[in-house]
Amino acid sequence: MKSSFTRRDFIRTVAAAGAFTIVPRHVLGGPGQTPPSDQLTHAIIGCGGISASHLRMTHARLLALCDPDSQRLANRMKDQPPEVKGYRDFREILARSDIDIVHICTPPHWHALMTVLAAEAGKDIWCEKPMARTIGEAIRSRDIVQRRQRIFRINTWFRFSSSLYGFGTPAAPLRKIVANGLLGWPIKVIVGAATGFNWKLELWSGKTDVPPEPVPPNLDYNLWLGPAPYKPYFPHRVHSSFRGYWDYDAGGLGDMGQHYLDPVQFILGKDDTSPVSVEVDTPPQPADAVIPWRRVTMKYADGCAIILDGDNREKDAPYLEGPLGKIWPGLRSDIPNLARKVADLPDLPPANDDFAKCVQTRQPFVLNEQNASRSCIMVQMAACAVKLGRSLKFDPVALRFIGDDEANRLIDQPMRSPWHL
Amino acid sequence: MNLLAIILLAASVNIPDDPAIRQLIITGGPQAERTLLDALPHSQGSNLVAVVKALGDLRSAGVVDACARHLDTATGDLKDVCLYALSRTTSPRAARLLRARLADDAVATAYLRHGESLAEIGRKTESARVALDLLRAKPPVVRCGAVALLTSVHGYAAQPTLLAMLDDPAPSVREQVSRQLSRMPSDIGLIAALQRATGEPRRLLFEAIARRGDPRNMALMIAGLGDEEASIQRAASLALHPMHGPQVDAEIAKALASPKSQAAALELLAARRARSQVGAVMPLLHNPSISKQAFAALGALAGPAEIEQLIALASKDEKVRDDATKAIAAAGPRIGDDARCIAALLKVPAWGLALLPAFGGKAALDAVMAATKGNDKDAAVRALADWRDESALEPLLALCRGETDLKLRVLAARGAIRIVQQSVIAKDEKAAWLQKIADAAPRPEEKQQAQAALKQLQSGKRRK
Repeated sequence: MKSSFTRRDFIRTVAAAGAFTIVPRHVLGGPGQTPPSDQLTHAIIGCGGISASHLRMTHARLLALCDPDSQRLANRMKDQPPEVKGYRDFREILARSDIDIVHICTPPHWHALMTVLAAEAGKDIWCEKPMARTIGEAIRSRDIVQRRQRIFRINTWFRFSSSLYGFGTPAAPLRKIVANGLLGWPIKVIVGAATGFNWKLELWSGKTDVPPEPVPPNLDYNLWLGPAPYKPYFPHRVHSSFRGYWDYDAGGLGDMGQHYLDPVQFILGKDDTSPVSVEVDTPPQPADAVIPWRRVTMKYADGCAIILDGDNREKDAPYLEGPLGKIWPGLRSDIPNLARKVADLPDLPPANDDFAKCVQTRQPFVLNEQNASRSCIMVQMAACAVKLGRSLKFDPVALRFIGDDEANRLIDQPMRSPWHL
Repeated sequence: MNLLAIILLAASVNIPDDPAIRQLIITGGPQAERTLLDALPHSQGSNLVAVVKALGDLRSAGVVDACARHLDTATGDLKDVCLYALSRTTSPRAARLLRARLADDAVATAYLRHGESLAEIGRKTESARVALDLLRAKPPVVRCGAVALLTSVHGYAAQPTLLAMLDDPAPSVREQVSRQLSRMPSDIGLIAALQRATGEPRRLLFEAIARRGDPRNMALMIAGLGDEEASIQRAASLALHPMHGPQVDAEIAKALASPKSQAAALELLAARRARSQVGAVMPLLHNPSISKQAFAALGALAGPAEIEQLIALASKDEKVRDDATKAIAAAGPRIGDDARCIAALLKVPAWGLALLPAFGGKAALDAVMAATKGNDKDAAVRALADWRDESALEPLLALCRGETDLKLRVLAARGAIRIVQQSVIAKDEKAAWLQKIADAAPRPEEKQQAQAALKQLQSGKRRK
């Protein structure tokens, strides 16, 4: 059988066999250093603000940067060593056999498309949130990543990190409390400023009636738009304000939704399901621009509910509330001796939170395509309801809205040619 | 509305979008497909790409002829959308066209997608044919996809084929085989294969069985805790972790008898908070080869009775004092202000005082405060500074104001600042405490520390 064997396959196989002794390490990498041939390699697609944090990551050796805006690319390339190459078109990066991991730091209308293409090119993926811009794209990304056996992580971390955003403690004790029934069931979750979660709705609002402007020569606007419908250019549409436009994201929901809702799914133990309804209180949304909404309520089949408090009407609200108790930020609670009770509860299973190790051992990352697709679907459910300005029913198995064709058309939106999933 | 005219118009004026085509895709149905097929012969360049892509979106069988004409000559976007359209249609001719060109990696990927499209509509036999054609494809990702596809359409019947692929040269394919084996409705055959396997296939098979989490395989998993391969130990531990019931704890505790599995079993019992097995752990404290892990496990398992024994051990044997101290400190927050524990700790001056903050409570605090007036003043102030809740703030502030030893005043000030910062009391209350500490702090360093904390509190900065 003729079989291609990737560089990464080689790294893993030799590492597993305890080899790498043919050429001494110090010859290739200097004493105490990892030789370049022994390192994972990565590329960063998208040179906007968030790429700065990806550039600081040290799990892999950077080989390439990419952006359709030559000025942004040049800014990021400035401090890079000569081995880092710059690209306008990400497909050239995917064609390189020496790149193991791609970091997708583009606006969300590219996330699923790049994830799928990267997966089929044999790359592992570190993708910015939200995982996808539509429910259909999230499902497709999940399926292709799993079928092609790629390692995927979404760039949010609050379910496993030492702090749950502004809540003041990690999410793990909350998961233990809920899983062991200390709050009873069902549980209501309030995600808003009072509980430590700012939706940034004003920040990520779009503009309406903006006159078109000439596209600056440094920007390949057609490539920036990619699969999104063509719209005349004006500066607020792109780069650091794109979240305010439905074609590319969903305002504050898109920016913070997966950060905030993924831990909720984890805490409630609902990684394998989705809410069955979403109710909204929002002013009518313009067709193009996202404007602030007031409140979104999502309910699960078992009665659990999540309230996204957009206009900060919940003062002194608990984050979690069940029939047996409430929990406020900092793990304050009306349950006596809660900290002691938590300490006596079984630990959660250990999580794979080292992405590089996951790539080398082919084990899924703790926040992978499976659970990330579910939390992304929640974000996009809410976005659909806000955009349409009405409440929706959802089938968490079929992953379709019930009895609402217009809403279902938002699940699978055609891409602009030549792009497709 | 003549959509064909719109499409042609769009092409002629080179509009950088295809709103008419987009509308046809959204509308769908035979009429939309017909309109696009009619446009096909008149289309060229980017418009041809857009029409072929749209027909692909609609899963049109009528696009196959056009794709066949372009497949061997087209490059770039046109080749890409032709492959896309062929992958989406369920036409047998599309399958033949793709199958004849599998040496091209892009075609192999499209053929795999074609098989997945067939599977989605339940055409299992044709889909399985695609999967079998691709099990030896060149790109590992395509072989991964073929393994997943074959499992999705053949289910358990795919097991022999998958077992034969455990020696695939690509780790990602072997891992995919293991994952797909774990998803099959039955593990019959896997355990027999495991018994015959060695090396990497053995690990992959064990992991496949472990991922299933079937309680009927508990004995196998417990045996895995003592395996020489770390990844098998880990897989066994992960499989046992969520299995419920005290009988599971009792079975895991039996693994404490074997030196090979002692460490993994101790870790697992601790993680499960298997208090019922604490009696099986205690004897291991006297076994130097495993005592460190046993002490660590007791941090999660010990109750007041075991804490008394740990205190006695630590008092007698300096060699184990560090490990015992860590275990008691870990157990304290779980046990809380237990009178037996506090009384036992107070019998060991200085050392015992240092451990009281882990237990907390009024009795312990009173004892520490009393000690600040006795011979163990230094240890008592340190204990107060280590306290875990706001109940120590008042005595710390008093020390900060009135203590004569500068070193102890500094300790008190720093401890009080830390407690306020970690506390969940209201912001205003925190601010008031920090101001009092800043006023009472003996040196500029602690005054500045308190003021910085106050400033941070007032700025209300939040983490991204």
